[in-house]
Amino acid sequence: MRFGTGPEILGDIDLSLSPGGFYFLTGPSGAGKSTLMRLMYLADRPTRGRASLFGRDISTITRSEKPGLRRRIGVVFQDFRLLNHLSTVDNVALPLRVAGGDDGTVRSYAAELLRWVGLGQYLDVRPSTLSGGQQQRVAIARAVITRPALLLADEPTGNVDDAIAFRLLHLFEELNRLGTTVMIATHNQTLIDQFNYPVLHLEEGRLSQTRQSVDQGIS
Amino acid sequence: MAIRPYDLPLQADGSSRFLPWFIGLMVYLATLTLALSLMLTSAIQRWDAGLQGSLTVQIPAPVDGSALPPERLAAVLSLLQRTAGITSVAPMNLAAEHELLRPWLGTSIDDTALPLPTLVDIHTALGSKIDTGKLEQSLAAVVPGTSVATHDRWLGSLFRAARLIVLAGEFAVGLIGAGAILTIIFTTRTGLLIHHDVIELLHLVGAQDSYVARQFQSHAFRQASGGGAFGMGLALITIVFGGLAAAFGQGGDEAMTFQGFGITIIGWCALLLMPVAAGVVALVTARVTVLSILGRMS
Ligand SMILES: Nc1ncnc2c1ncn2[C@@H]1O[C@H](COP(=O)(O)OP(=O)(O)O)[C@@H](O)[C@H]1O
Ligand SMILES: [Mg+2]
Repeated sequence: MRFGTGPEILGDIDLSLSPGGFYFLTGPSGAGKSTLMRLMYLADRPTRGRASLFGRDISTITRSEKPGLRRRIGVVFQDFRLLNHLSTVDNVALPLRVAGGDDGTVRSYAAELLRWVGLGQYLDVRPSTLSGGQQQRVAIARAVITRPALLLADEPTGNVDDAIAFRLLHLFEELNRLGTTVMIATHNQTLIDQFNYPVLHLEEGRLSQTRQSVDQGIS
Repeated sequence: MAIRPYDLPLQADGSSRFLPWFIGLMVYLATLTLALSLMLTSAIQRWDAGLQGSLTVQIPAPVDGSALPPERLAAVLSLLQRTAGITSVAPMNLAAEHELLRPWLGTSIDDTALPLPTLVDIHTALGSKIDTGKLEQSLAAVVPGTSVATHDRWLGSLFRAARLIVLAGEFAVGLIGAGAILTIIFTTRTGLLIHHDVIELLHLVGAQDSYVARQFQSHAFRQASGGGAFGMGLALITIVFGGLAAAFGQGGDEAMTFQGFGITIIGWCALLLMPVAAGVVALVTARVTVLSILGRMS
């Protein structure tokens, strides 16, 4: 994967996530973690090589098929990407709303989720008035509201203290137990040490696995 | 029940703030043009109805300046009365004829000095088509030089001119509509650029292009129909005051004023529907624009 005529950001990566798995993605800043995730949530196409998602070759996915696939993917963006003209509850409800969900049901479900991540008193405020950590939790609530088959979280605990980070990790584990494949990009070594999941390390365009688990392998 | 928020902050960006005013102006112009066209159309129809079924037969005076012999006139009249489709035959008397000519010839007409043609007014049954050419031929056999004048012949060019004006009006409305469509396309494209990031996010959380299009189209509908209602209101005020002023200025045709300026119920409905029409045009234009631009992306 490269951008324009720049250097190849991701070289020969051979990665396959087993359905229902839980992965950490680490690597120095600028290694291409976010870029790898962009490929996975169909925001970019690989410039060479092949990638497949839910058994579909990414390069053959048509525009009209993308919404259906993206509804099965929850993304926590590194920069949150919350909409500041909407309240937090409307932000969280967005994925269900664009999928045609009933407004009332969708809002009450979003409110419930926000209460769960500890933001019950901020339902009707604009995200811009919240702290970085609070915005991050709104972004996480939005990513998980559809109970996606694949959750991609790009440094989702970068702005919260460890106590909240653990709480959020438990939320991701809960989703994982319900069948969601989870991949979390993070720098937080404490967190990685605390949870015993395979760690994918990305550096200089190459991917390696530093903690192999028995049942989940990278070829 | 809470009002569903716009997922795109279209009403907050300045790009389309002028759109309602612009559409308002266009609807104002279109409504006036349409109203004038409708009035002219109904005036044409009224002239037409008033003149249909009436013809004038003109029997030339003998070249020697003498009066038309009565038996010749009688022959012409009886031929006309026997013609199928003619319901009434009325020779105009000399006094009436002089009355007609007074503006040109003055009051002292010496009818022996000026050989005047004899005029016969005839009316035809409603819907019957008299072949004026054939009638003229058989009349000329009785009195050479007799002619039949249909009013169409001399009013026809007036009708044609009036119809041309109506056509020009409709063309102008078409141009105004095209201008409005171009404006909405431009505004929509600008909106797509301004809100590129939000639209990308909507796509990433699984929105289809049609969801994005709905945001634009409902916004365009509200703006255009709102602006259009304003423009139509102004246009109606202009029509009513303009019409009243014209009616009183002429000192006549109050009847027309009180009959809705000659505009039919359907015509008034068309005028009142202008804001809705503007809204629907805006909606469809915005939708097609968004879908075609997004569809070209990968
Ligand atoms: N849209 C882009 N155009 C050009 N270069 C980009 C773009 N996005 C990312 N990059 C480059 O790709 C590299 C990897 O970026 P990123 O995936 O954000 O790394 P990480 O998330 O691991 O910190 C960086 O050098 C960055 O400058
Ligand atoms: Mg990154």
